[in-house]
Amino acid sequence: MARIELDKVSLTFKIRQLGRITLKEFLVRQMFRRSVNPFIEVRALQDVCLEARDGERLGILGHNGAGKSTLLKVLAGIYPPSHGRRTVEGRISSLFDIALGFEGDANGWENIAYRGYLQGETPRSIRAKVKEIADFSELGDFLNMPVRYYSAGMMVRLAFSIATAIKPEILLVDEVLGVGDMAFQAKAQERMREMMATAQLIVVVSHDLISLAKVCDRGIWMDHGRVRQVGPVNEVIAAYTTFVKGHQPRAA
Amino acid sequence: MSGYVAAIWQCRYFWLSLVKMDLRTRYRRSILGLGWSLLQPIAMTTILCIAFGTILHVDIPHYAPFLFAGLATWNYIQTTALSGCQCFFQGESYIRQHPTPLAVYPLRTALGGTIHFLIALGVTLLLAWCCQGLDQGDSGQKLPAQAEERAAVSGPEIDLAERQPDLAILRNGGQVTSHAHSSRWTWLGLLSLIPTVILLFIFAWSLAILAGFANVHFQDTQHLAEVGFQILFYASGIIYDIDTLKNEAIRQLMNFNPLVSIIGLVREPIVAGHVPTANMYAVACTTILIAASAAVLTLWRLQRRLIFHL
Repeated sequence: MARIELDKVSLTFKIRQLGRITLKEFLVRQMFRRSVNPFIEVRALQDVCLEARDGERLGILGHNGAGKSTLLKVLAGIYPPSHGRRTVEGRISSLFDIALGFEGDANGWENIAYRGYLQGETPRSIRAKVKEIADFSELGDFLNMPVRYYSAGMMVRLAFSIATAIKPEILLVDEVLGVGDMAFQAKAQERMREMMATAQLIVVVSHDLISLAKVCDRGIWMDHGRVRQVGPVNEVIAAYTTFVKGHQPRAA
Repeated sequence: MSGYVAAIWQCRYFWLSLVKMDLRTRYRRSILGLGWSLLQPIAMTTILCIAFGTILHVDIPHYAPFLFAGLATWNYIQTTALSGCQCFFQGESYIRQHPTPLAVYPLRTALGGTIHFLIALGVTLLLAWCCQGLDQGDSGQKLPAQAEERAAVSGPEIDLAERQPDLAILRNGGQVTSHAHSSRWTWLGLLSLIPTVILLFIFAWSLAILAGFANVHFQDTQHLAEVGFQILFYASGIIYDIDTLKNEAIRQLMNFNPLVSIIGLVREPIVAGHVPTANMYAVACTTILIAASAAVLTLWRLQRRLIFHL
């Protein structure tokens, strides 16, 4: 049983203008009480309410910086919400940035194990899945090579194969699928559909509205950290496209 | 708290495989393999023994294990603290991918350091055993002879001490271990190394946690820590025994340095052959308890928000 529930979740980032500070700077500032490196507040999410259950496939869309990826990371439990409540039941597997969670010096096989262990597998349970992961990724002998020499597409193949083979109850995917080649994209969509059949919860962030419409059944349109519209995926995509067209400069 | 420990245990395969990988990548790159990590203390011990042996006529069979035990423990503490500064950045790609108890990343650093330390400890024991054999072989006739010799030499030695107090410390450093002349290893002493390793491991883990968080918040932590450790090195009696310091005030001051006691826990059973004193245990345990509490408190207060500072 998988369930996601966000209740009025807000997330505010406090970012320093000049990156991290030094201890020296900190002490000096305490003494002089004058900040030369102030915080900038970014309201990444504001009052987001969301509910999803088994078998639902959510597609999140919106312009760059609308809070789509942040929302996904809050769902994954990586960012703690500043306000509001996050309830997630079920085993989560996530695919964010491509190289994330890979150890560059280790080869493909080793990385399958590390990623598996990170998500709670044991040596015994992962052994049974390694072959399936290797087959699905179709990487063959490349798996003997350190991951740092992989192309982006190869990494996506490996990451997606691991993330889905672990049989998560909740799968969170951010934008990465576009990097794989055509054959793999088709394969990935097929696997997503398979996962649906076994009643899993999937949340996908993408700018590729066509594949979003194929994979998802519910759409969420994010705008400046707020949910602008929720509904059947085709309706939300239609509304979003009209909105974007209306705001485009005439020349385009 | 117990839930947190359980969560760390639950992803044990994850951090264990990272430790294994760290060790492998470190050793795969050199033919010397394991020996590489021991090169620094071995080279330093050799150089100091040659230097002090020829210049100051330090009693090498006693000075060498004394020095090596000190260096091994010191390196353990220093490297776990300094590489602990990087632990969260090293694990950043995992932290951004999947929520895990953050203590596993300093744990990775501390475990790697512990393995190196255990190897170094083995070498220390071997070295001490060889030196002991060397010493035992000729101790029969040499002991009284040495005493006489010392009595005869005492005149110029005092002279030297007056002129060059720093050197006198080192000179005595070699001799301080001389109370070990009569004492061979005891079983109880050697057994005391087991709880000592556990204590040191808790200390190293705590230091790595504190260093990791500090470095994420203040980017100059590692640099400051390097400077601090350099000063501490000379204040912790690694290359000399602080008990031989002539100046009473400085000696008392040095005894406040908890690292002296912590290093003593390792040194005492190997060099002097007996269980560390109750005083050493008291100081070392208190220090480690304080470090561990600070680490737990830091984790509890800052762990959730660490991601925003990476």
